[in-house]
Amino acid sequence: MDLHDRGSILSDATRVSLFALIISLALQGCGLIWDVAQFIRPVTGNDLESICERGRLHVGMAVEPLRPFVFPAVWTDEGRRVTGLDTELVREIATSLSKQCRGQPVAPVLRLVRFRDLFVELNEGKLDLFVSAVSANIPSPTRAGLAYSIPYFYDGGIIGITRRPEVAERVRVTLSKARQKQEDKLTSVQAALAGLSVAVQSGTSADVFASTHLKNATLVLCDSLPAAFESEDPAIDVILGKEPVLKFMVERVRRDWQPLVLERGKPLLWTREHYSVVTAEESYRLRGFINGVLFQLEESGRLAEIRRRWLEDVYAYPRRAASEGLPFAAEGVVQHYDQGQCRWAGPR
Amino acid sequence: MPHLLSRLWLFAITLFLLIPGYASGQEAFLEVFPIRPFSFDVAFRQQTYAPDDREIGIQAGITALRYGNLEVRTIYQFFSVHSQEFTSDQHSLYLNPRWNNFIDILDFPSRMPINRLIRHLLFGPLEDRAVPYVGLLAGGVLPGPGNSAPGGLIGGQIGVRFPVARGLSVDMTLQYAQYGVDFRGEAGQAQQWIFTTGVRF
Repeated sequence: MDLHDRGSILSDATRVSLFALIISLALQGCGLIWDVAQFIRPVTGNDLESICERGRLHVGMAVEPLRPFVFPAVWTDEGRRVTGLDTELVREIATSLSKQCRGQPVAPVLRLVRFRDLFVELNEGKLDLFVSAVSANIPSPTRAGLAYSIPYFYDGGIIGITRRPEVAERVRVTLSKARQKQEDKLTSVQAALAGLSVAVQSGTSADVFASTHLKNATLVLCDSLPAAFESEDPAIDVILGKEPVLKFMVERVRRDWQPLVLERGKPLLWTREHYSVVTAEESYRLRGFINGVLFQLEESGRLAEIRRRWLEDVYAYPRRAASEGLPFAAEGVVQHYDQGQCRWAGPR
Repeated sequence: MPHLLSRLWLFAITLFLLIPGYASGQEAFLEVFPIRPFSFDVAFRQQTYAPDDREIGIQAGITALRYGNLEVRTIYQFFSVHSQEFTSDQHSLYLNPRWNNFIDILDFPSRMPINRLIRHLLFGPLEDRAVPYVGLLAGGVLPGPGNSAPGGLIGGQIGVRFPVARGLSVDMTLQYAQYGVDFRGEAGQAQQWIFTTGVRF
Protein backbone atom coordinates (compact mmCIF):
# COMPACT_ATOMS: atom_id res chain seq x y z
CA MET A 1 0.00 0.00 0.00
CA ASP A 2 1.34 3.41 -0.86
CA LEU A 3 1.92 5.59 2.16
CA HIS A 4 1.16 8.83 0.29
CA ASP A 5 -2.40 8.83 -0.97
CA ARG A 6 -3.39 5.46 -2.30
CA GLY A 7 -4.91 4.29 0.98
CA SER A 8 -8.26 5.81 0.05
CA ILE A 9 -8.55 3.79 -3.13
CA LEU A 10 -7.95 0.41 -1.55
CA SER A 11 -11.00 -1.79 -1.35
CA ASP A 12 -12.61 -2.12 2.09
CA ALA A 13 -11.76 -5.79 2.29
CA THR A 14 -8.11 -5.11 1.49
CA ARG A 15 -7.93 -2.34 4.03
CA VAL A 16 -9.48 -4.50 6.74
CA SER A 17 -7.18 -7.40 6.01
CA LEU A 18 -4.13 -5.16 5.90
CA PHE A 19 -5.14 -3.52 9.16
CA ALA A 20 -5.58 -6.92 10.78
CA LEU A 21 -2.23 -7.98 9.43
CA ILE A 22 -0.40 -4.95 10.76
CA ILE A 23 -2.08 -5.28 14.15
CA SER A 24 -1.17 -8.93 14.34
CA LEU A 25 2.41 -8.11 13.41
CA ALA A 26 2.53 -5.33 15.96
CA LEU A 27 1.45 -7.81 18.58
CA GLN A 28 3.79 -10.55 17.49
CA GLY A 29 5.37 -12.31 20.39
CA CYS A 30 2.01 -12.27 22.13
CA GLY A 31 -1.11 -14.33 22.09
CA LEU A 32 -1.93 -16.76 19.36
CA ILE A 33 1.16 -16.23 17.23
CA TRP A 34 3.27 -17.01 20.24
CA ASP A 35 1.18 -20.08 21.02
CA VAL A 36 1.56 -21.36 17.47
CA ALA A 37 5.30 -20.81 17.56
CA GLN A 38 5.52 -22.59 20.90
CA PHE A 39 3.55 -25.47 19.47
CA ILE A 40 5.85 -25.79 16.43
CA ARG A 41 9.12 -25.22 18.22
CA PRO A 42 9.03 -24.42 21.93
CA VAL A 43 11.39 -21.51 22.55
CA THR A 44 12.03 -22.66 26.09
CA GLY A 45 12.48 -26.24 24.93
CA ASN A 46 14.30 -29.02 26.63
CA ASP A 47 17.83 -27.70 26.87
CA LEU A 48 19.02 -31.02 28.31
CA GLU A 49 17.80 -32.87 25.22
CA SER A 50 19.65 -30.38 23.02
CA ILE A 51 22.90 -31.09 24.86
CA CYS A 52 22.33 -34.84 24.56
CA GLU A 53 21.63 -34.54 20.83
CA ARG A 54 24.80 -32.64 20.10
CA GLY A 55 26.93 -34.61 22.60
CA ARG A 56 28.72 -31.47 23.70
CA LEU A 57 28.37 -29.21 26.69
CA HIS A 58 29.41 -25.68 25.79
CA VAL A 59 31.08 -24.24 28.87
CA GLY A 60 32.34 -20.70 29.30
CA MET A 61 35.15 -19.85 31.67
CA ALA A 62 36.65 -16.50 32.59
CA VAL A 63 39.33 -15.18 30.30
CA GLU A 64 41.22 -13.97 33.37
CA PRO A 65 42.75 -16.75 35.49
CA LEU A 66 41.26 -17.03 39.00
CA ARG A 67 43.53 -19.40 40.89
CA PRO A 68 42.71 -21.98 42.17
CA PHE A 69 39.36 -22.00 40.35
CA VAL A 70 40.82 -21.37 36.90
CA PHE A 71 44.59 -21.53 36.44
CA PRO A 72 46.45 -19.95 33.54
CA ALA A 73 46.27 -22.17 30.46
CA VAL A 74 49.16 -24.52 29.89
CA TRP A 75 50.53 -25.96 26.64
CA THR A 76 50.93 -29.71 26.98
CA ASP A 77 51.85 -32.51 24.58
CA GLU A 78 48.13 -32.96 23.98
CA GLY A 79 47.54 -29.28 23.27
CA ARG A 80 46.41 -26.32 25.33
CA ARG A 81 44.78 -27.21 28.64
CA VAL A 82 43.14 -25.30 31.43
CA THR A 83 42.68 -26.69 34.90
CA GLY A 84 41.43 -25.77 38.34
CA LEU A 85 38.60 -26.41 40.76
CA ASP A 86 36.04 -25.22 38.24
CA THR A 87 37.29 -27.51 35.47
CA GLU A 88 36.99 -30.50 37.81
CA LEU A 89 33.45 -29.39 38.54
CA VAL A 90 32.74 -29.17 34.81
CA ARG A 91 34.03 -32.74 34.43
CA GLU A 92 31.62 -33.92 37.13
CA ILE A 93 28.68 -32.15 35.47
CA ALA A 94 29.61 -33.58 32.04
CA THR A 95 29.91 -37.09 33.51
CA SER A 96 26.48 -36.79 35.09
CA LEU A 97 25.08 -35.45 31.83
CA SER A 98 26.45 -38.49 30.00
CA LYS A 99 24.47 -40.72 32.37
CA GLN A 100 21.41 -38.51 31.90
CA CYS A 101 21.78 -38.89 28.11
CA ARG A 102 21.35 -42.66 28.39
CA GLY A 103 25.07 -43.32 28.24
CA GLN A 104 25.77 -41.13 25.24
CA PRO A 105 29.02 -39.34 26.06
CA VAL A 106 28.77 -35.60 26.55
CA ALA A 107 32.09 -33.85 26.06
CA PRO A 108 32.70 -30.50 27.73
CA VAL A 109 33.88 -27.88 25.25
CA LEU A 110 35.49 -24.90 26.96
CA ARG A 111 35.59 -21.35 25.71
CA LEU A 112 37.30 -18.49 27.49
CA VAL A 113 34.96 -15.50 27.50
CA ARG A 114 34.75 -12.14 29.17
CA PHE A 115 32.06 -11.77 31.79
CA ARG A 116 30.61 -8.74 30.03
CA ASP A 117 29.85 -10.92 26.98
CA LEU A 118 28.10 -13.53 29.06
CA PHE A 119 24.52 -12.37 28.54
CA VAL A 120 24.80 -12.50 24.75
CA GLU A 121 26.80 -15.76 24.75
CA LEU A 122 24.22 -17.55 26.92
CA ASN A 123 21.16 -16.07 25.25
CA GLU A 124 22.47 -16.64 21.72
CA GLY A 125 22.87 -20.31 22.61
CA LYS A 126 26.66 -20.31 22.23
CA LEU A 127 27.18 -21.33 25.84
CA ASP A 128 25.17 -23.68 28.00
CA LEU A 129 26.74 -22.57 31.24
CA PHE A 130 29.51 -20.44 32.69
CA VAL A 131 31.60 -21.29 35.71
CA SER A 132 34.45 -19.22 37.14
CA ALA A 133 33.96 -18.49 40.83
CA VAL A 134 30.95 -16.31 40.00
CA SER A 135 29.23 -14.82 43.03
CA ALA A 136 25.48 -15.27 42.88
CA ASN A 137 23.10 -12.45 43.65
CA ILE A 138 25.44 -9.51 43.26
CA PRO A 139 23.28 -6.38 43.01
CA SER A 140 24.49 -5.04 39.69
CA PRO A 141 22.73 -4.24 36.38
CA THR A 142 25.39 -6.26 34.55
CA ARG A 143 23.97 -9.38 36.21
CA ALA A 144 20.42 -8.90 34.89
CA GLY A 145 19.10 -11.79 32.85
CA LEU A 146 21.51 -14.36 34.28
CA ALA A 147 20.49 -17.22 36.53
CA TYR A 148 22.46 -19.15 39.12
CA SER A 149 22.58 -22.71 40.39
CA ILE A 150 22.79 -23.60 44.05
CA PRO A 151 26.29 -22.81 45.38
CA TYR A 152 29.21 -25.16 44.95
CA PHE A 153 31.49 -23.02 47.10
CA TYR A 154 30.10 -21.49 50.29
CA ASP A 155 33.07 -19.84 51.95
CA GLY A 156 33.75 -17.05 49.52
CA GLY A 157 33.83 -13.41 50.44
CA ILE A 158 35.72 -10.20 49.84
CA ILE A 159 39.01 -9.51 51.56
CA GLY A 160 41.85 -7.05 51.08
CA ILE A 161 45.58 -7.61 50.75
CA THR A 162 48.51 -5.23 50.84
CA ARG A 163 52.22 -5.30 50.18
CA ARG A 164 52.97 -2.51 52.68
CA PRO A 165 53.17 -3.55 56.37
CA GLU A 166 52.36 0.00 57.48
CA VAL A 167 49.04 -0.14 55.61
CA ALA A 168 48.20 -3.48 57.23
CA GLU A 169 49.07 -2.02 60.64
CA ARG A 170 47.05 1.16 60.01
CA VAL A 171 43.98 -0.86 59.06
CA ARG A 172 44.39 -3.18 62.05
CA VAL A 173 44.78 -0.32 64.55
CA THR A 174 41.91 1.72 63.08
CA LEU A 175 39.57 -1.24 63.19
CA SER A 176 40.69 -2.15 66.70
CA LYS A 177 39.91 1.37 67.96
CA ALA A 178 36.59 1.36 66.14
CA ARG A 179 35.71 -1.93 67.75
CA GLN A 180 36.46 -0.55 71.22
CA LYS A 181 34.16 2.38 70.45
CA GLN A 182 31.58 -0.11 69.16
CA GLU A 183 31.40 1.62 65.77
CA ASP A 184 29.74 0.05 62.78
CA LYS A 185 32.17 -2.30 60.98
CA LEU A 186 31.53 -0.94 57.50
CA THR A 187 32.02 2.64 58.68
CA SER A 188 35.26 1.71 60.38
CA VAL A 189 36.51 -0.08 57.25
CA GLN A 190 35.74 3.05 55.23
CA ALA A 191 37.75 5.10 57.71
CA ALA A 192 40.62 2.61 57.66
CA LEU A 193 40.94 2.77 53.87
CA ALA A 194 40.33 6.51 53.50
CA GLY A 195 42.89 8.08 51.21
CA LEU A 196 44.43 4.77 50.12
CA SER A 197 44.44 3.55 46.54
CA VAL A 198 42.30 0.43 46.38
CA ALA A 199 42.50 -1.80 43.30
CA VAL A 200 39.70 -4.06 42.15
CA GLN A 201 39.24 -6.16 39.05
CA SER A 202 36.80 -4.35 36.81
CA GLY A 203 33.30 -5.83 36.74
CA THR A 204 33.79 -8.20 39.67
CA SER A 205 31.82 -8.33 42.91
CA ALA A 206 34.74 -6.51 44.58
CA ASP A 207 34.27 -3.69 42.05
CA VAL A 208 30.58 -3.49 42.91
CA PHE A 209 31.36 -3.57 46.64
CA ALA A 210 34.08 -0.91 46.46
CA SER A 211 32.03 1.37 44.22
CA THR A 212 29.13 1.18 46.64
CA HIS A 213 30.88 1.37 50.00
CA LEU A 214 34.39 2.80 49.73
CA LYS A 215 33.67 6.43 48.91
CA ASN A 216 36.71 7.78 50.75
CA ALA A 217 39.26 5.55 49.04
CA THR A 218 40.76 6.15 45.62
CA LEU A 219 39.50 3.36 43.42
CA VAL A 220 41.73 1.80 40.76
CA LEU A 221 40.17 -0.43 38.12
CA CYS A 222 42.32 -3.27 36.81
CA ASP A 223 41.68 -5.56 33.86
CA SER A 224 42.89 -8.56 35.85
CA LEU A 225 44.30 -9.56 39.20
CA PRO A 226 47.87 -9.97 37.86
CA ALA A 227 47.62 -6.40 36.52
CA ALA A 228 46.79 -5.20 40.05
CA PHE A 229 49.82 -7.02 41.47
CA GLU A 230 52.14 -5.53 38.88
CA SER A 231 50.75 -2.00 38.71
CA GLU A 232 53.22 0.78 39.54
CA ASP A 233 51.40 3.70 37.96
CA PRO A 234 48.95 3.98 39.58
CA ALA A 235 50.57 2.56 42.69
CA ILE A 236 48.32 0.19 44.62
CA ASP A 237 47.98 0.22 48.41
CA VAL A 238 45.29 -2.43 48.77
CA ILE A 239 43.80 -5.03 46.44
CA LEU A 240 40.23 -6.08 47.10
CA GLY A 241 39.01 -9.37 45.72
CA LYS A 242 37.64 -12.83 46.24
CA GLU A 243 38.81 -14.31 49.50
CA PRO A 244 39.82 -17.81 48.29
CA VAL A 245 41.63 -16.37 45.26
CA LEU A 246 43.59 -13.71 47.16
CA LYS A 247 44.33 -16.12 50.00
CA PHE A 248 45.72 -18.64 47.51
CA MET A 249 47.81 -15.94 45.84
CA VAL A 250 49.42 -14.56 49.02
CA GLU A 251 50.10 -18.04 50.41
CA ARG A 252 51.56 -19.62 47.29
CA VAL A 253 52.36 -17.12 44.56
CA ARG A 254 52.81 -13.57 45.87
CA ARG A 255 54.22 -14.02 49.34
CA ASP A 256 55.34 -10.38 49.47
CA TRP A 257 51.68 -9.48 49.96
CA GLN A 258 49.69 -10.06 53.15
CA PRO A 259 46.01 -10.09 53.99
CA LEU A 260 44.46 -7.27 56.02
CA VAL A 261 43.59 -8.72 59.41
CA LEU A 262 41.90 -7.82 62.66
CA GLU A 263 43.34 -8.48 66.11
CA ARG A 264 44.90 -11.89 66.66
CA GLY A 265 45.27 -12.39 62.91
CA LYS A 266 41.58 -12.87 62.22
CA PRO A 267 40.97 -12.19 58.51
CA LEU A 268 39.11 -9.00 57.69
CA LEU A 269 36.14 -10.29 55.69
CA TRP A 270 33.85 -7.61 54.27
CA THR A 271 31.05 -9.64 52.82
CA ARG A 272 30.14 -13.26 52.33
CA GLU A 273 29.74 -14.78 48.87
CA HIS A 274 28.67 -18.11 47.44
CA TYR A 275 29.93 -19.24 44.05
CA SER A 276 27.49 -20.76 41.59
CA VAL A 277 27.20 -22.00 38.03
CA VAL A 278 25.65 -19.41 35.69
CA THR A 279 23.09 -20.26 33.02
CA ALA A 280 20.65 -18.35 30.86
CA GLU A 281 17.50 -17.47 32.73
CA GLU A 282 15.37 -19.76 30.56
CA SER A 283 17.62 -22.82 30.93
CA TYR A 284 15.30 -24.22 33.55
CA ARG A 285 15.94 -27.92 33.02
CA LEU A 286 19.69 -27.56 32.77
CA ARG A 287 19.80 -25.46 35.92
CA GLY A 288 17.63 -27.96 37.74
CA PHE A 289 19.91 -30.74 36.60
CA ILE A 290 23.03 -28.87 37.76
CA ASN A 291 21.38 -28.21 41.11
CA GLY A 292 20.81 -31.94 41.46
CA VAL A 293 24.40 -32.77 40.54
CA LEU A 294 25.81 -30.22 42.99
CA PHE A 295 23.55 -31.46 45.75
CA GLN A 296 24.64 -35.05 45.16
CA LEU A 297 28.30 -34.03 45.09
CA GLU A 298 27.87 -32.14 48.34
CA GLU A 299 25.98 -34.95 50.04
CA SER A 300 28.50 -37.58 48.99
CA GLY A 301 31.44 -35.52 50.22
CA ARG A 302 32.89 -35.32 46.72
CA LEU A 303 32.50 -31.54 46.54
CA ALA A 304 34.36 -31.14 49.84
CA GLU A 305 37.09 -33.38 48.45
CA ILE A 306 37.34 -31.25 45.29
CA ARG A 307 37.60 -28.09 47.37
CA ARG A 308 40.25 -29.61 49.63
CA ARG A 309 42.19 -30.90 46.63
CA TRP A 310 42.48 -27.46 45.03
CA LEU A 311 42.57 -25.15 48.05
CA GLU A 312 44.58 -27.10 50.61
CA ASP A 313 46.73 -29.71 48.87
CA VAL A 314 50.19 -28.84 47.65
CA TYR A 315 50.49 -29.40 43.91
CA ALA A 316 51.95 -28.09 40.67
CA TYR A 317 49.08 -26.97 38.51
CA PRO A 318 50.89 -27.55 35.16
CA ARG A 319 51.12 -31.24 36.07
CA ARG A 320 47.44 -31.37 36.83
CA ALA A 321 46.72 -29.48 33.61
CA ALA A 322 48.63 -32.14 31.66
CA SER A 323 46.94 -35.06 33.39
CA GLU A 324 43.39 -33.82 33.88
CA GLY A 325 43.05 -30.40 32.25
CA LEU A 326 40.39 -29.65 29.70
CA PRO A 327 41.11 -28.38 26.18
CA PHE A 328 39.64 -25.06 25.19
CA ALA A 329 38.94 -23.14 21.99
CA ALA A 330 41.65 -20.87 20.60
CA GLU A 331 39.34 -17.89 20.82
CA GLY A 332 40.23 -15.92 23.92
CA VAL A 333 43.81 -17.15 24.19
CA VAL A 334 45.24 -13.70 23.50
CA GLN A 335 43.07 -12.10 26.18
CA HIS A 336 43.90 -14.95 28.54
CA TYR A 337 47.60 -14.12 28.49
CA ASP A 338 47.12 -10.36 28.30
CA GLN A 339 46.84 -9.25 31.91
CA GLY A 340 45.83 -5.73 30.87
CA GLN A 341 46.38 -2.60 32.89
CA CYS A 342 45.13 -0.56 35.82
CA ARG A 343 43.65 2.92 35.68
CA TRP A 344 42.09 5.38 38.06
CA ALA A 345 38.33 5.01 38.26
CA GLY A 346 36.33 8.07 37.39
CA PRO A 347 33.98 9.87 39.77
CA ARG A 348 31.48 7.52 41.39
CA MET B 1 23.90 0.19 -12.81
CA PRO B 2 26.98 -1.90 -13.65
CA HIS B 3 28.95 0.50 -11.48
CA LEU B 4 26.66 -0.19 -8.55
CA LEU B 5 26.77 -3.92 -9.13
CA SER B 6 30.55 -3.92 -9.17
CA ARG B 7 30.59 -2.03 -5.88
CA LEU B 8 28.25 -4.59 -4.34
CA TRP B 9 30.44 -7.43 -5.55
CA LEU B 10 33.50 -5.67 -4.17
CA PHE B 11 31.74 -5.33 -0.82
CA ALA B 12 30.79 -9.01 -0.91
CA ILE B 13 34.29 -10.15 -1.74
CA THR B 14 35.82 -7.95 0.96
CA LEU B 15 33.34 -9.25 3.51
CA PHE B 16 34.02 -12.87 2.76
CA LEU B 17 37.76 -12.36 2.73
CA LEU B 18 37.56 -10.86 6.20
CA ILE B 19 35.15 -13.35 7.73
CA PRO B 20 37.16 -16.59 7.53
CA GLY B 21 40.16 -15.08 9.30
CA TYR B 22 37.97 -13.90 12.09
CA ALA B 23 35.88 -17.02 12.34
CA SER B 24 38.61 -19.63 12.09
CA GLY B 25 39.89 -18.96 15.60
CA GLN B 26 36.58 -19.83 17.12
CA GLU B 27 36.58 -23.59 16.60
CA ALA B 28 32.85 -23.22 16.24
CA PHE B 29 30.38 -25.95 15.35
CA LEU B 30 28.00 -26.08 12.47
CA GLU B 31 24.47 -25.90 13.80
CA VAL B 32 21.41 -26.72 11.75
CA PHE B 33 18.31 -24.74 12.78
CA PRO B 34 20.07 -23.10 15.73
CA ILE B 35 18.47 -21.17 18.54
CA ARG B 36 15.70 -18.72 17.51
CA PRO B 37 15.42 -19.87 13.89
CA PHE B 38 12.17 -18.08 13.01
CA SER B 39 11.81 -14.40 12.29
CA PHE B 40 8.86 -12.18 11.43
CA ASP B 41 9.35 -8.57 10.47
CA VAL B 42 7.51 -5.52 9.29
CA ALA B 43 9.35 -3.96 6.34
CA PHE B 44 9.27 -0.31 5.33
CA ARG B 45 10.70 0.23 1.87
CA GLN B 46 11.42 2.97 -0.57
CA GLN B 47 12.08 1.89 -4.13
CA THR B 48 12.70 3.39 -7.53
CA TYR B 49 10.57 1.18 -9.75
CA ALA B 50 7.57 -1.14 -9.74
CA PRO B 51 6.29 1.33 -8.57
CA ASP B 52 8.44 4.31 -7.50
CA ASP B 53 7.05 4.85 -4.00
CA ARG B 54 7.18 3.89 -0.30
CA GLU B 55 5.46 0.82 1.05
CA ILE B 56 4.94 -1.37 4.06
CA GLY B 57 5.33 -5.11 3.70
CA ILE B 58 5.97 -8.21 5.71
CA GLN B 59 8.70 -10.76 5.69
CA ALA B 60 9.35 -14.08 7.31
CA GLY B 61 12.64 -15.84 7.65
CA ILE B 62 14.27 -18.95 8.92
CA THR B 63 17.87 -19.50 9.96
CA ALA B 64 19.06 -22.77 8.56
CA LEU B 65 22.74 -22.80 9.48
CA ARG B 66 25.02 -21.20 11.98
CA TYR B 67 28.73 -21.51 12.40
CA GLY B 68 30.17 -19.39 15.17
CA ASN B 69 29.41 -15.80 14.25
CA LEU B 70 28.32 -16.74 10.75
CA GLU B 71 24.79 -17.72 9.90
CA VAL B 72 22.75 -18.24 6.77
CA ARG B 73 19.13 -17.21 6.72
CA THR B 74 16.45 -17.65 4.12
CA ILE B 75 13.98 -14.79 3.83
CA TYR B 76 10.63 -14.68 2.12
CA GLN B 77 9.37 -11.15 1.53
CA PHE B 78 5.95 -10.12 0.29
CA PHE B 79 4.82 -6.73 -0.94
CA SER B 80 1.38 -6.15 -2.38
CA VAL B 81 0.48 -2.85 -4.05
CA HIS B 82 -3.16 -2.08 -4.81
CA SER B 83 -4.37 1.03 -6.66
CA GLN B 84 -7.10 1.93 -9.15
CA GLU B 85 -4.60 1.72 -12.00
CA PHE B 86 -2.88 -1.50 -11.12
CA THR B 87 -2.34 -4.31 -8.67
CA SER B 88 1.11 -5.68 -8.17
CA ASP B 89 2.29 -8.47 -5.93
CA GLN B 90 5.98 -9.11 -5.45
CA HIS B 91 7.41 -12.21 -3.86
CA SER B 92 11.09 -12.27 -2.99
CA LEU B 93 13.03 -15.25 -1.77
CA TYR B 94 16.65 -14.79 -0.95
CA LEU B 95 19.56 -16.17 0.97
CA ASN B 96 20.95 -13.90 3.65
CA PRO B 97 24.39 -14.85 4.98
CA ARG B 98 25.20 -12.78 8.04
CA TRP B 99 28.30 -12.03 10.04
CA ASN B 100 27.32 -11.40 13.63
CA ASN B 101 29.38 -9.25 16.00
CA PHE B 102 31.50 -8.04 13.10
CA ILE B 103 32.48 -4.97 15.12
CA ASP B 104 34.48 -7.20 17.45
CA ILE B 105 37.12 -7.67 14.78
CA LEU B 106 38.26 -4.23 16.00
CA ASP B 107 39.13 -5.57 19.46
CA PHE B 108 42.31 -3.49 19.75
CA PRO B 109 44.25 -1.73 21.19
CA SER B 110 43.96 -3.44 24.57
CA ARG B 111 43.90 -0.18 26.53
CA MET B 112 40.88 1.20 24.69
CA PRO B 113 39.47 -1.31 22.18
CA ILE B 114 37.82 0.32 19.18
CA ASN B 115 34.96 -2.17 19.22
CA ARG B 116 34.08 -1.17 22.78
CA LEU B 117 34.01 2.50 21.80
CA ILE B 118 31.77 1.82 18.81
CA ARG B 119 29.46 -0.38 20.85
CA HIS B 120 29.19 2.26 23.54
CA LEU B 121 28.49 5.01 21.01
CA LEU B 122 25.89 2.97 19.14
CA PHE B 123 24.13 1.06 21.87
CA GLY B 124 24.81 2.92 25.11
CA PRO B 125 23.66 0.90 28.12
CA LEU B 126 22.92 -2.07 25.85
CA GLU B 127 26.51 -2.26 24.54
CA ASP B 128 27.04 -5.73 26.03
CA ARG B 129 23.61 -6.94 25.00
CA ALA B 130 23.60 -6.18 21.29
CA VAL B 131 24.58 -8.37 18.35
CA PRO B 132 25.42 -6.08 15.43
CA TYR B 133 25.72 -7.75 12.05
CA VAL B 134 26.31 -7.21 8.36
CA GLY B 135 24.89 -9.42 5.68
CA LEU B 136 24.46 -10.05 1.99
CA LEU B 137 21.30 -10.73 0.05
CA ALA B 138 21.11 -12.91 -3.03
CA GLY B 139 17.99 -14.44 -4.50
CA GLY B 140 15.11 -13.88 -6.84
CA VAL B 141 11.93 -11.88 -7.27
CA LEU B 142 8.66 -12.88 -8.88
CA PRO B 143 7.51 -11.67 -11.33
CA GLY B 144 10.92 -11.33 -12.98
CA PRO B 145 11.67 -9.31 -16.15
CA GLY B 146 9.62 -10.68 -19.03
CA ASN B 147 7.54 -12.59 -16.53
CA SER B 148 9.29 -15.78 -17.61
CA ALA B 149 11.82 -16.29 -14.84
CA PRO B 150 12.59 -14.81 -11.45
CA GLY B 151 14.46 -11.53 -11.48
CA GLY B 152 17.84 -11.50 -9.77
CA LEU B 153 18.08 -9.78 -6.39
CA ILE B 154 21.32 -8.70 -4.79
CA GLY B 155 22.08 -6.42 -1.90
CA GLY B 156 23.57 -5.87 1.51
CA GLN B 157 22.38 -5.09 4.98
CA ILE B 158 23.49 -3.82 8.36
CA GLY B 159 21.54 -4.33 11.54
CA VAL B 160 21.45 -5.20 15.16
CA ARG B 161 19.76 -7.88 17.23
CA PHE B 162 18.96 -7.46 20.91
CA PRO B 163 18.51 -10.79 22.67
CA VAL B 164 15.72 -10.31 25.18
CA ALA B 165 16.01 -13.82 26.52
CA ARG B 166 17.22 -17.17 25.27
CA GLY B 167 14.05 -17.67 23.25
CA LEU B 168 13.39 -14.18 21.90
CA SER B 169 15.26 -11.29 20.32
CA VAL B 170 14.32 -8.00 18.69
CA ASP B 171 15.89 -7.32 15.35
CA MET B 172 16.39 -4.09 13.34
CA THR B 173 17.91 -3.96 9.88
CA LEU B 174 18.63 -1.44 7.16
CA GLN B 175 19.16 -3.07 3.82
CA TYR B 176 19.72 -2.09 0.24
CA ALA B 177 18.87 -4.28 -2.72
CA GLN B 178 18.40 -4.06 -6.42
CA TYR B 179 16.43 -6.51 -8.44
CA GLY B 180 14.93 -7.19 -11.83
CA VAL B 181 11.15 -7.12 -11.95
CA ASP B 182 8.27 -7.12 -14.36
CA PHE B 183 5.84 -4.29 -13.72
CA ARG B 184 2.71 -3.75 -15.80
CA GLY B 185 4.20 -5.72 -18.65
CA GLU B 186 7.52 -3.88 -18.67
CA ALA B 187 10.82 -5.24 -17.45
CA GLY B 188 12.99 -3.03 -15.28
CA GLN B 189 15.51 -2.79 -12.50
CA ALA B 190 14.43 -1.45 -9.13
CA GLN B 191 16.58 -0.23 -6.26
CA GLN B 192 15.13 -0.34 -2.81
CA TRP B 193 16.04 0.70 0.70
CA ILE B 194 14.29 -1.33 3.38
CA PHE B 195 14.09 -0.88 7.10
CA THR B 196 12.80 -3.97 8.89
CA THR B 197 12.01 -4.55 12.51
CA GLY B 198 10.65 -7.68 14.10
CA VAL B 199 11.31 -10.57 16.39
CA ARG B 200 13.18 -13.86 16.22
CA PHE B 201 12.18 -16.85 18.23
